[in-house]
Amino acid sequence: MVKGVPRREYFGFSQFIFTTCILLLTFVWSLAPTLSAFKTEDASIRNEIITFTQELVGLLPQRYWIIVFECVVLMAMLFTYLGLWMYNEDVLTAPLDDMRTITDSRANVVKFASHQEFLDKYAFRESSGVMDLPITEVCRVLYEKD
Amino acid sequence: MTKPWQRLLWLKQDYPDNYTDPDFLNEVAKLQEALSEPQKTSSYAQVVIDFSLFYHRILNTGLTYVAFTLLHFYHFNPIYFTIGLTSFAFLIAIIYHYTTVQIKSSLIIIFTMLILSPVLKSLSKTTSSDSIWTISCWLTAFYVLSIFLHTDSITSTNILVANVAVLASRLESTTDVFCFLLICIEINILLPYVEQSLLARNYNLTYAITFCLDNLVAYYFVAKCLGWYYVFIFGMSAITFVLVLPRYFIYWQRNYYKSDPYLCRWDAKKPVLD
Repeated sequence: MVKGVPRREYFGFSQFIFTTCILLLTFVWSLAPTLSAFKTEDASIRNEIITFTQELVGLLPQRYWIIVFECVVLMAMLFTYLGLWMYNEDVLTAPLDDMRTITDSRANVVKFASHQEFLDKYAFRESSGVMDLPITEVCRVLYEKD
Repeated sequence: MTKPWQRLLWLKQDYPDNYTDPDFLNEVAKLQEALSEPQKTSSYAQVVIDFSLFYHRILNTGLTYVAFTLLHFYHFNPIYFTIGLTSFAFLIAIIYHYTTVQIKSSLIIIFTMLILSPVLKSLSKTTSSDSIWTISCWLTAFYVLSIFLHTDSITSTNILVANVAVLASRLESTTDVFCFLLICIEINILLPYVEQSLLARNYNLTYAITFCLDNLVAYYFVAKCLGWYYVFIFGMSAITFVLVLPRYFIYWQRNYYKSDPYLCRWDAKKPVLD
């Protein structure tokens, strides 16, 4: 570490630059055509530059692996999303005949003495907080006439 | 005792959803003040100085390859150079630190290196040169990262020795390996240390001379070995790094970075998409 340069900003900036460069490099590198096709017959500056770039590129992993890596990451993301969704649906969600579908210990059930009081105070009126109405009373209001 | 509240949505915390931290209410006035002021930025000159310090450290790492090329491609006899450099290092250690150099531990390290040199020389003998150059390049990249990230740990020295061990198998003799290891340690560990102590004691002119000498050695060598095209490419990248990148840094600081402590703590985090 260079002493006397304790700034957090430099780390943030280098992080920003590195990630941007790696992203751009990955795009260019996975899409660019083969460089040796652009070489001319006789010696020129262009050939020098291409040779230099090829030397640099030779230090990177082969292009095949970069594309494989991209594909693996993409597919892993897809499978993770699908997997999480399925886990939520099939494992974490309580089945329909489970008691937790109706109520649980966290429920904030409204309290009332009679059905009439429920009708007057809660059934057709907005409460100021989030409250749970007992399902029996709700069913009574909805389906009693049928 | 309950845990202190954290401003993170994904944590399950024992606080109601509409909890407001008392710190927020205390600091909201200062936050308003920070929001109304324009973002503070560092001065260009200071950033240029800091970036040249980074550049200098990277250049020191590059000197390793100068030493290696001299030994490997030009079959340079390293003994006199190593003796000279080591004596110079001892001299500087005595002058600058006004203390007796610990002869015993230095001798132990030198003898360990002597014993290890034949091992290092034969360790990656069977690996092809192409792989050696690639591995060495990546090790150097990790070395530069470790210098700046793991300030107080031994990681960077380990990576340096790994790099030397990888390169050592391409050298001619055990003596060369020993000298190369010693030169690398002196260039990469002692030289930056001396340069930083120069800066710490405000010997700025001496530091500037060292900086220029380092540049001179590196670029003269590149010109001799690879030609002026490469000097142009390296020089332009260095100038971009030292003079142009600071401008972009200040732009970044103004538009993306939040240096104000109240702002970092309480601002609404917005994703930056451009």
